[in-house]
Amino acid sequence: MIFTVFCAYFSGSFSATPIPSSQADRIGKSYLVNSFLTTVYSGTNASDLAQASNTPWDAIAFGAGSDSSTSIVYGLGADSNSNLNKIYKRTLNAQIVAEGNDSTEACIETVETLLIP
Amino acid sequence: MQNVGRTIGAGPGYAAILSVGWEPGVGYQVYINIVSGSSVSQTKLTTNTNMVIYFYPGNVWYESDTGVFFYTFSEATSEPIHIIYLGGIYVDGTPYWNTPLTMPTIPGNSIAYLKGGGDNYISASNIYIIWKDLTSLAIYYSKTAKSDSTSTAGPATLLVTDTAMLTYIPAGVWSSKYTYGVTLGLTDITMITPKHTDVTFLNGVFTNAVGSGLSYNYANGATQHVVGWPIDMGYVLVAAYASWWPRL
Repeated sequence: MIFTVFCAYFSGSFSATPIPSSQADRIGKSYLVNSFLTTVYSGTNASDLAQASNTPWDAIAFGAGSDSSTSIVYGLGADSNSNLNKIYKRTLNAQIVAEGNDSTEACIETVETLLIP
Repeated sequence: MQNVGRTIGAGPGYAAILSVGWEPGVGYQVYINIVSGSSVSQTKLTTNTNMVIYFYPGNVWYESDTGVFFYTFSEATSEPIHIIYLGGIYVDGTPYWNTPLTMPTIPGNSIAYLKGGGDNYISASNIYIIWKDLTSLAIYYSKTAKSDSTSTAGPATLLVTDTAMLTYIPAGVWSSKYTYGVTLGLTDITMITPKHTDVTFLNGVFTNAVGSGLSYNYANGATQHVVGWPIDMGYVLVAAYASWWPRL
């Protein structure tokens, strides 16, 4: 539920996606303030909630993938002392994200939970 | 116990998380955790043995040409005396500076909203650090040459001070290829309805600020965070707001 706020921010971070060929589309894709949101985590989804229910709202980051076909969203998990202990990594399909209307998490290609050594 | 914090920055294929953790019987420590693919490596940045010293993460950003994650954090004792640190680490865990650079702040004054960034998306020549002095309600910045031979951080310089009507918070230091900016969140209560927006000082000119035009109807305060990066037409600027809108 809280992550959806970040989806709004993500709607602006489309530089990692393929650049549209027409000038009109470029402008359209550059200003996504009024576009639909892309959901990458939902508190109403049981499996999402099971994975990262303790990720605070300010512990999310989006980044480019290893090539232009993917983007990545990272979430942080903490133990009972609030010490960082997990990183939730979701690899996103950049093309689906670029379409700007994915409300079903179809853009998510892989889900990983990385443990802090 | 301190509310331990963390901040995260991402680069192509990598991410770095700056975290503060409690080392039982010793004290708080600062760690940087680098994610590469499906592996995570952790480096401890401090050797604190004083249980009443606290650390607060600032931010982390990635410079792709050098493959370095730069980071900021602050240290505070109960006085409070704050010290700001600027460090860097390559993705393989090698430190950019053997010892993080330090920036003195006004003794006795607490600071917050620590943010840093380079003056170019690649091959930055300088790093700007901004923070707010919570006692004097003033925003300061520091300009430091980005070189592995740099041993001293640039001096703290007053940027702007809150007024009765205008309240500022550091939102970010961002850069593209030809433009960079130091952006402050701005709350203007001149009118009955507070206006939450931001102002940016562009390309190292700190005598004139421009607004981005970005706003958010459900904003609960000024711009909290700003990032920017180059595109072929110029740059993209993304502003994040805290929201009172609880759900979509």
